Amino acid sequence: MGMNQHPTGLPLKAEQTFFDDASTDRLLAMVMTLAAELHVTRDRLATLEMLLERGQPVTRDALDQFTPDPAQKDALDTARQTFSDALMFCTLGVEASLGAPEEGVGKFDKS
Amino acid sequence: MFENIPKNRPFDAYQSFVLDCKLYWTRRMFPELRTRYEALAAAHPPEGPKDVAELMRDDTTAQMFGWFERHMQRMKYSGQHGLAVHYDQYRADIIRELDAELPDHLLTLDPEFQQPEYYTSIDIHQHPGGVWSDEIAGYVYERGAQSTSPMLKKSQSLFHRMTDQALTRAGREVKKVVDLGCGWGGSTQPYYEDHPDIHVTGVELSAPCLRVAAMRAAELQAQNVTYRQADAIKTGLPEGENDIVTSTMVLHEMPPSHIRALFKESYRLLAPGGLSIHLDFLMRDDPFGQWVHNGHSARNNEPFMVPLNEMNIAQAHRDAGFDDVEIVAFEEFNGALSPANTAWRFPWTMIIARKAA
Repeated sequence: MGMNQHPTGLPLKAEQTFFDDASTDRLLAMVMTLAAELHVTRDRLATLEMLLERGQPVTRDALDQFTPDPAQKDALDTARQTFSDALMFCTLGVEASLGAPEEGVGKFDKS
Repeated sequence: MFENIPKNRPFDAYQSFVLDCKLYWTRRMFPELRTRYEALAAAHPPEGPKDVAELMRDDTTAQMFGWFERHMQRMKYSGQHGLAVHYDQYRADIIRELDAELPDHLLTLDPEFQQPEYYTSIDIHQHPGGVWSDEIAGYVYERGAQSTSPMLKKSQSLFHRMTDQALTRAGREVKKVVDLGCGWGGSTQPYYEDHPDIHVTGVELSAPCLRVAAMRAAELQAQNVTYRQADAIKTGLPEGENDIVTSTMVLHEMPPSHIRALFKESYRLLAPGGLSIHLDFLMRDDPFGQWVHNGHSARNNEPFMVPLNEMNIAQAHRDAGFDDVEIVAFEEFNGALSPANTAWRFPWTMIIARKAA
């Protein structure tokens, strides 16, 4: 993480980019880094609530080593998949509603 | 083994999230990419992958597809809770486990061994430092292999399928097997675990991988496996003794000269009538598939995938001494080869040849 020196000491290779402007590549990396951390935080919060619901002590170790029961696992998996689906859906460029026709709206005008 | 590496929910949550995003890429983004390609290709039919690259150059979904393939793998290994980052915290504990005494027969390491330059120059799979330079790299690699192919529930099932293919196709009683480039032993284990009458020798460049492979075998109290640090093109094993010589996902990590040498070494190691069977990735006769495959090669730091794909495999086998070679699609899970499966997948392929009896 944040590596700017290769473990073997060999020089790092040039950045691989995929978009017309490399700043898009870097911004997307920041978005995904934040999204992943948001998920980890949401998961932490959800597991904390689960510990409280069980009446168990909430400690750092209890959270780190939390093992959900089957129902809790389903809930946590569903929450994660719902979030990752919503996030990744944005990559497809699919509109959620109908906009105006590309040829314009003149045909609707009956005047 | 490794029970002292504590469970860590944030790490698990992060890795599951990255895998979910990769699954979306596999199941949703890839079919969308193909749909967009087909719309463009209808007007300008491409002849090869370079034409497809030109056709898709300005397509935003194609750019997204490339970005996510590269960066999901980067995040998996090197992100804030990436495999290499996470396990580095437990370095001392992992090394202590790896240093445990092993039965003498299990592992032969070569302290003077010199890694080939191609191998040390490229971090395959985007594993920082490769799978050889760090004492804990084999353990990290093994952990990472659990999600290499996101459509596979368990990476191990693939190894069992490949073992079944080899044993079925051997057409004879199998007593000795050599597994070239065995890594952390995933491809070796089904032989020694499920077939006690077979002796299998795993050959691998990476000492850290071999340590993990040998420890897993020791854990299972296996008596019929030997791991050996050597180059797959020059194993140092006796010639003409083996019923099967195999490899799994090894050829595409080697330059063409070494692939040809590996076929020659396979031939040398086999007993008359023995079977050479290598599982790897070939994508031919489909410009779109080749473009995706070549892109994967660059994005995942596997640059020798392209020359392997372009190689005359049959001629290379004839040069090695084999008469015939058969190239057969490999179904890594039930339904993988069905037209109904529109998700991205590796073009798994078996390269099969037999030494004359």
